[in-house]
Amino acid sequence: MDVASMEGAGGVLNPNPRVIMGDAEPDLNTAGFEGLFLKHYPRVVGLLYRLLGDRGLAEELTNDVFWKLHCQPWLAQSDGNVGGWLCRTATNLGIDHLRALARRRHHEEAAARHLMESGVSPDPLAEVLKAERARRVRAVLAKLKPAHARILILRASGLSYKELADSVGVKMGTVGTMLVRAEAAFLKRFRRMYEHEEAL
Amino acid sequence: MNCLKDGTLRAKLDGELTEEELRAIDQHLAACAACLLRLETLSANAERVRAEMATLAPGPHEGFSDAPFAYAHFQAEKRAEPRPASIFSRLFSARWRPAWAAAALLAVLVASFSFAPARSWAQRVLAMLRVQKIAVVPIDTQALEGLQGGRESGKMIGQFISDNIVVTMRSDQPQVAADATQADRLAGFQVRLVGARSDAPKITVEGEQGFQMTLNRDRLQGILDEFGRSDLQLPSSVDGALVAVHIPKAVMAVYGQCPQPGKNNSQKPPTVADLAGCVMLAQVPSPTVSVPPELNIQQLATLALQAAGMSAQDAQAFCDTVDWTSTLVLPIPRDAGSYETTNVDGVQGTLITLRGWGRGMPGYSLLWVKSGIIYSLTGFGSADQAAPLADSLE
Repeated sequence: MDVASMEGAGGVLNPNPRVIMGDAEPDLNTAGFEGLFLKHYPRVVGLLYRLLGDRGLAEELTNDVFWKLHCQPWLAQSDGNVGGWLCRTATNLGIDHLRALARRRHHEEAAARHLMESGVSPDPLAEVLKAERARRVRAVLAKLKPAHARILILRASGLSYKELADSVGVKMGTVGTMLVRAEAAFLKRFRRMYEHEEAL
Repeated sequence: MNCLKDGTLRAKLDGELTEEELRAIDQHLAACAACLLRLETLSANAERVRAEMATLAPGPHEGFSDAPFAYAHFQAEKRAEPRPASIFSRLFSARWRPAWAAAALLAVLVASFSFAPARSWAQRVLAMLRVQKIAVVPIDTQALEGLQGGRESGKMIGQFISDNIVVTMRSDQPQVAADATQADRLAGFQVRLVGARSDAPKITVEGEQGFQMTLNRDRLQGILDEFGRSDLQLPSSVDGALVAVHIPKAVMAVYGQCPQPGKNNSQKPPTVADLAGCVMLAQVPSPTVSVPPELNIQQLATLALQAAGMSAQDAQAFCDTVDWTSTLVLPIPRDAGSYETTNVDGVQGTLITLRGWGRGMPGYSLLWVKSGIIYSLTGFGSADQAAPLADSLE
């Protein structure tokens, strides 16, 4: 039986048209895409910075996120939920990197030292303390279930309940419950990791 | 009015309720001390988390490029850097085709990780799967190449594997056997060789392997998202499921001069004449896969086929025809060749013919299961020679 003719034998291969996104190189100058980029860039880069604490890496990953969008013209050209898709993709990417970074702790420590030595901040000690605090928060996020980390970082990035529901793919009425659970998990994990150092 | 849900109280704290909802809730809170106490606890928790999360915000000295500048940078960078090929297009690129022959056995093993049933003393609480028959499903490589992959997808899959797989039994270096008798002893089952070949094969015995994998729904869903298939939602039963795989010792008998995948290319590659004489016979007792009984393998298989380009309806129709607990399903690229069922070695087998293998030669792979052993006979040239070779096994 020829593979191309096995329609009747259990598999009419009718690829989902959304999957075939065209082999041609995408046109980088489409006004629609530029509009989406300008509109969503600040939120996406801010979200990734919050997760990773590294401006260069956040900008690099933001480019990756928009490149993925660019490769999906069906999404960029639709009236669909582009903002939600961008936030979800960025958060997934960021959490993945965060977990990898958590295995290389020296990264944050080096960043803190650099900040102190660079002399850009008028209050280097406060900056270092803030960086240390942020390092702990990221370490906790890296240990949480991705669903919990995702909703916390999206909320901290200023998403409304409607935007959170769109990004996470749930009904708006369940966002509050998800936040409560994620916050409880965050506090529990934070205490477990740092209770010997401070009382939260 | 019943007591308020935590989610409703949380939404009140965030100002995410309508005026009407808010009025009703405030009335309830005025009369319900328990809900009021919970509201205070939730408020305190939310405030603590908010304060911690606020430390992640960029400081005044950590400004980003503005959006128009970033867009110009994005355009310049992506013009300079060619679009990364998807892992699927790399997988099916011409340079890998010579490796397909030897990879046939691997395909048998890997695919059986997902779908194989039996009983085992080791995993009594789990459903055991074992390969009893083989089916082929054609997949559309165009659809696969259309999936959005790139380096991040590769990293995510690699990281998922490294995070979630525990090797429980590691294979030693393959052992070389001088003849079938020695191979029997090393492998622990009766090894068969091709009687129709008069030349002596190179026989190697691969060691036993075992690993366990704990599935993480969110991570797997993340990978699907990464491929641009957020429309496919994995069931919650996947999360935390422990899948244990055991692969018994396998024997490979190689006749003639065959390509050796993984070896560096400094050696002289086999000529067309060499390849014409190449035959590889692999045999391995069926690997066993243990999965929690509640894991719906058919549902996962349907999703996998959709990810490979099938419509939901067609994937469901195909999956309905297959007993996923005992069938090894081999995906083959639709444009790579053809397949047919054939009688071999006294049982029903599947003969896959692939166009344009190593050095442009056609190739074949004949697969069958007999007495609990999976056989794979692979070679170059006409597929007509496969069945006589297989029927001569002794």
